[in-house]
Amino acid sequence: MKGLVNFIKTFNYKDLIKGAAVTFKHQFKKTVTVQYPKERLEPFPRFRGRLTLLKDEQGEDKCVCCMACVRICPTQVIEIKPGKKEGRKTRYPVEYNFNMDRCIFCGLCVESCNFDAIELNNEYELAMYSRKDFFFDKEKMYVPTPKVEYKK
Amino acid sequence: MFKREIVELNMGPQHPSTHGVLRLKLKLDGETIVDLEPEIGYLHRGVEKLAENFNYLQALTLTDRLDYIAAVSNNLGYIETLEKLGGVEVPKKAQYFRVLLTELNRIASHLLWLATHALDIGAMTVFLYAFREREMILDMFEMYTGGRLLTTTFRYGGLKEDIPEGFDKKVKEFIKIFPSRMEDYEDLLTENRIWKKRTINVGVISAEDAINLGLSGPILRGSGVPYDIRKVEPYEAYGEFDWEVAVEEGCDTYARYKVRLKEMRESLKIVEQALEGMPEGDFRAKVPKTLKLPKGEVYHSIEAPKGELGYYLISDGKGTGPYRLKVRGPSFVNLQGLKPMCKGHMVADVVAIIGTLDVVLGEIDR
Repeated sequence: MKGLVNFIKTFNYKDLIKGAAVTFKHQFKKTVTVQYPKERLEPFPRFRGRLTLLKDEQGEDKCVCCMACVRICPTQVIEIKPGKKEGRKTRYPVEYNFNMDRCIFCGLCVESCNFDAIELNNEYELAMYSRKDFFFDKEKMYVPTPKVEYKK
Repeated sequence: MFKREIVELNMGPQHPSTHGVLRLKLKLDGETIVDLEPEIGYLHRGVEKLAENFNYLQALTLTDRLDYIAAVSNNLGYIETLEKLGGVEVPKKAQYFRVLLTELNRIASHLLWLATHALDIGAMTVFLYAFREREMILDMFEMYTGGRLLTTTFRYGGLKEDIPEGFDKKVKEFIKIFPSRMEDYEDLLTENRIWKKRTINVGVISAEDAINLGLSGPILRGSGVPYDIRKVEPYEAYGEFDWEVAVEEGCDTYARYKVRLKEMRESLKIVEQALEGMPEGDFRAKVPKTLKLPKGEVYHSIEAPKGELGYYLISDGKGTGPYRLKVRGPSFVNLQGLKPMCKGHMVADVVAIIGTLDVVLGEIDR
């Protein structure tokens, strides 16, 4: 009798069939994965990507060198050299250096900025081939990183 | 003819199932574990010391990096500690939203635990399914804060930004989908005979031992102690929601599995209530731009997904940053339970027991 009970217990595959039913059901569902280099997901508007400088409507620097972002940055990756020029009341950044390899993308610099002069854009493919490429000077800060297109 | 010998074996720090850089010194008698000692410190970054050189807002970014699976909970604990010392009243809307995000984070943390724990024991399907649902929560974090893993979510006195449009729709969609997905995991694991054989009576720790070792969170509740800080000392708006503390009497890995599954369901209940009852109004109290706290010491603890997370903060009243910040991390204390749980078990069970402790090395080493 005991042997029979054990026999039934061993070959009662109810639990395993239940699990297999779940995986079987999933065969007919839509796939959730994205074929990455060919398709890319678009981040949400608040996504914290690469730091970029912004210009106003006249094409002037919005930055007035208040140094709030320099002071708040936990990893000290921003460096500003302020200067004066004619026809502009406020100071403007002669140099705005940003060292991305140490940036932690916390967004505190953007939060501290009272002039909406900087933002973290929606770029997420930020790997580089060389350490030098992580260094952004003022010219590079305005332009988005060129996107690499992959073909078959 | 043959001599019995105790063999010393190093497990980790690069072992795939030690969840990070945990190194275990095992003493083995054949396959049985006689003694065990965890070696930690491979991921030490000096977070507590770094915090002394930062101001209060900058130190928030460090708390993200403690338990990086549950960054929102870490942020909440730290910000609440500051608020306790500063004596700031947080608006109701911010409180509700904080609860909502932390509970979503709890689900995400438990999903990652479920995925990796099942993967360690050999059930790969659950891993893929659980990550699919975790992705939905990470999307919500990205939508609100901009970060997916390291969120830097809350601010002193409330929230950083207002809730974006379409956020509630995303949460509602998740609430609709998630219960059926939970059933899928349960179908795959709960009654599965291999799962039961690998987890029942493995890693047993009695309620008395668990309390003496200072264990907290799902491990303590898996031993039948209904201790949850959200119920015992309600912070934020937890007192206003209808939910239960998940407790199981089994004391073993299987019981802790059930506790965490139940906790995910309860968290979903809280999320639903918080979203429905979200009040209108300000999302941040009126606070000065540069934060300065009065002189004093404060300890505050919250219920993080892994257990009791406490922050001990000393302010000298002069600087704009913490004079000293001590973190009482749940994973660090819970790791002490590893030795009594593992003794007498096989080497293969150590993997299951590390999984059930749900340790994150970023927080242990700090």
